[in-house]
Amino acid sequence: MTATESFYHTPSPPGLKGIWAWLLTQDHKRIGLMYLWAVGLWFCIALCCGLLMRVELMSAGRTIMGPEVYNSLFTLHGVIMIFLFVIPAVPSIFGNFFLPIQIGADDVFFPKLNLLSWYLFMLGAFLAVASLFLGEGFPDTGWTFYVPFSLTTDKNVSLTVTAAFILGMSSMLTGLNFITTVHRMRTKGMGWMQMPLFTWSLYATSWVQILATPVLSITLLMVIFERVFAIGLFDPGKGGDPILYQHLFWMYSHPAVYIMILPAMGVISEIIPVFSRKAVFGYKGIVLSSMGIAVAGSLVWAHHMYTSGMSDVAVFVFSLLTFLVAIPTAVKVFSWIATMYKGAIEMTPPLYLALIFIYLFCVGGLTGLVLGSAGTDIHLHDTHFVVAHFHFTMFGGTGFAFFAALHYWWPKMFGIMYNFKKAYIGATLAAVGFIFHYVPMFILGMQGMPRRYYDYLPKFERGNFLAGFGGFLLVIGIILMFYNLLMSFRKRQVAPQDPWGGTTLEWSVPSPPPLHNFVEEPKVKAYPYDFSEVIAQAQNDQAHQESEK
Amino acid sequence: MRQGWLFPALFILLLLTCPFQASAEPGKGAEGTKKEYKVGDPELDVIWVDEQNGKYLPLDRTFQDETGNSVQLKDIIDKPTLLLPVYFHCPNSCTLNLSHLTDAVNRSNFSPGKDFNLIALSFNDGDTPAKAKAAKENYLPLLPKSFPQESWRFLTGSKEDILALTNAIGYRFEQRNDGTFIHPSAVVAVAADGMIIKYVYGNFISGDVDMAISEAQQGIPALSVRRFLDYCFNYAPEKTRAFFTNIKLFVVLGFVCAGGLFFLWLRRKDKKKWEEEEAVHDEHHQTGNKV
Repeated sequence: MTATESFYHTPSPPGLKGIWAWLLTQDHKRIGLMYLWAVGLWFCIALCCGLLMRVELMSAGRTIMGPEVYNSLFTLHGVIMIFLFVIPAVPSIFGNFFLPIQIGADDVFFPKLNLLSWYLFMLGAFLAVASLFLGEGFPDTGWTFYVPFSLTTDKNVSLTVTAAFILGMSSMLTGLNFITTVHRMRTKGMGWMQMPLFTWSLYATSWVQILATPVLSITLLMVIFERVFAIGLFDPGKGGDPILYQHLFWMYSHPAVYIMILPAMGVISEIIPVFSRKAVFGYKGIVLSSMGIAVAGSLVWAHHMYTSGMSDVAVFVFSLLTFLVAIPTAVKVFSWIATMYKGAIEMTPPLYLALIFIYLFCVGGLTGLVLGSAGTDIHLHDTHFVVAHFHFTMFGGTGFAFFAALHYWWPKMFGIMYNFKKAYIGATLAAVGFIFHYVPMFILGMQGMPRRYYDYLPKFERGNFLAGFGGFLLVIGIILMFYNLLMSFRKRQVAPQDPWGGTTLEWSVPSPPPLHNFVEEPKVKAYPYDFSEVIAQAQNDQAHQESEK
Repeated sequence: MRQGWLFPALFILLLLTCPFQASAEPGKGAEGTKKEYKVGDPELDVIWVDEQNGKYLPLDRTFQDETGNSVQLKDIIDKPTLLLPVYFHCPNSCTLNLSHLTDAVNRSNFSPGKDFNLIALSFNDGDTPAKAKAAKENYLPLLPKSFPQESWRFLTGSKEDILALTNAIGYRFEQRNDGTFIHPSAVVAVAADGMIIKYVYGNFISGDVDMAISEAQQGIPALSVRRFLDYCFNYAPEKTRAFFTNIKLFVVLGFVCAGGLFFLWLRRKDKKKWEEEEAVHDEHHQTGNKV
């Protein structure tokens, strides 16, 4: 074994071989990859559910499924996408893999807890899918499990709720691990303002995870208690309050939106400066905005409930707070754009996907303001407009940032490069398909088409057909992107240590990294996005080439 | 044994949960099969709307309309009909329900009177046609002038007739001591022949209501979309006070136990440290003596 041998060749704990070297590993990189394959699998399943739903909706009336199957399918699609893809994807995969490397550590602070988090994630995931086949069938309540339906339905709600509880615990342990790692394991000389922005975003996310997730856990426990013991917490007949559930649920689930989007923003904050060859504009502004989003985002939950019965004062306050979240978000977007301004932009698939992210996320964010203001929300509540808005934010945002991260760090994770042309075609198809898929939904929503229906009035047929057509394009684009990445294993084109000219610490280690990440003591720069050396090197290379000519 | 406390703790937990064993999951009997029940059955009182899609309204029941005339349901249900159970002096959400329904009718793609009718049924047997008339006069101005007034009836009736109708649609309501009612907010779409087609929940968004009318025109029972089920009730926190007091008690006990353990741990650590220091001191002392 040499010091530079990759972690694939030196399992931890040492001596274990084959599958055990993975299943019992405590190495953060292996755990990150285990999350990658697991999350990828669930994503594909949820994508298939989504496509089947769109096929059903492409023409009016019953086509390939009835209302019961449709209700179960959209619940399954929602549960998997939210709890098994959008929330864990970026922090669990890329956070696990790169957070310790970015801060110059050789692992997370609690490696065994890290492995336990993966097992809890898998257990929760299997329980969620098992609830589809056990008992009376999969819940038909939607991923929100709103009472009283989740209490009175004879479908398998208890098991699904238990699954969500376990997944919440996994997410919380990961957050705890990251916070401790950042506090205790930063390499010598790395101050808070020298941490990469991706690490900062994970740090902010982790605080939301450990503070907000217990609220969901308690709420889900209350649902189980209510189903089994009928205490009456949510039943007005017994003095309970049904709106209490909504408050508690959204107290977690709205901050969860920021658990989803903050790491995605961290990814974009890494990609934009690297391919603009320019120090990120307003480093401290981005850091503060991450923390600002984490704080402000936790105070806006009730904007999901304008129509559920709240006082006018509460509606006003929550509407105002919702608008306030736009400020730190806009700080980030303007910082990215200012970073690109007059930069030496080098177009690559990660940057292309990051630009798509910025566009789609801006549309998602701005339409969020329409729903955040109480007046327009009442008109658009529970229509397809809402569906389009949150898909623009979650899928156009987190989903495309996930693809960008995958293309950005793929050479580092596997030591191989992929085909750029196929990546561009895949990303373009996915983006065009995405817009064709969701823009008609905005219009359908404004025309009054409600969400969660397997059928609709004839006047909505054209919009739904277009949306279905876009859905197919989107799925083809995604398949092409995945195919291209997977094919890179077959046509092994070895990736250099720093293919993009990155300046953060992960680009100073071999690709793929060795077991203990660093062959020599990591050198911390005074500023993590200082490209002077990269530019000087590029100029030297250019001068050398010209002198050769 | 170090874990000696575990089994007593589990035993106590088991004892505590025993009283609850009788109440199984809602809607299920002892064998886990779905049980038939009647609305108001105390054993299953978590259910406020038990959908009866595909069954029929008791069309021969008689009610009074807002003009005081007696009408049988079969006389006024001759086309798809939206039935909204409310009561006419409700201080909470009935007014909202009526205005949401008015709004949905305003935005509807279907023509009231031609494509569908509306019924606002008071489940309060104390309500009179005069009150019904006042309520109707309150909501008609929200509709366009072309709205055919006779296509929206505001009905009142005897307790027996009301219960026959609400039982038929699986709708539960409960009167409180202060005269107000707890009741869910739901519109029931009925076909021209009186068959129950669909339930619309929440704040009756126009798309939902239009889908219900469209399905009622086809006359085929449809699955309802399970949105938030709104309730009308005066919140009575004293009902759950005992439960939350117990929770507070457990939390305080938990903190006391945790604090106690932490104190013991600290004391033990201090004692250990003191013993070590003492041992070093003794050793030093003995060594010194030897010297």
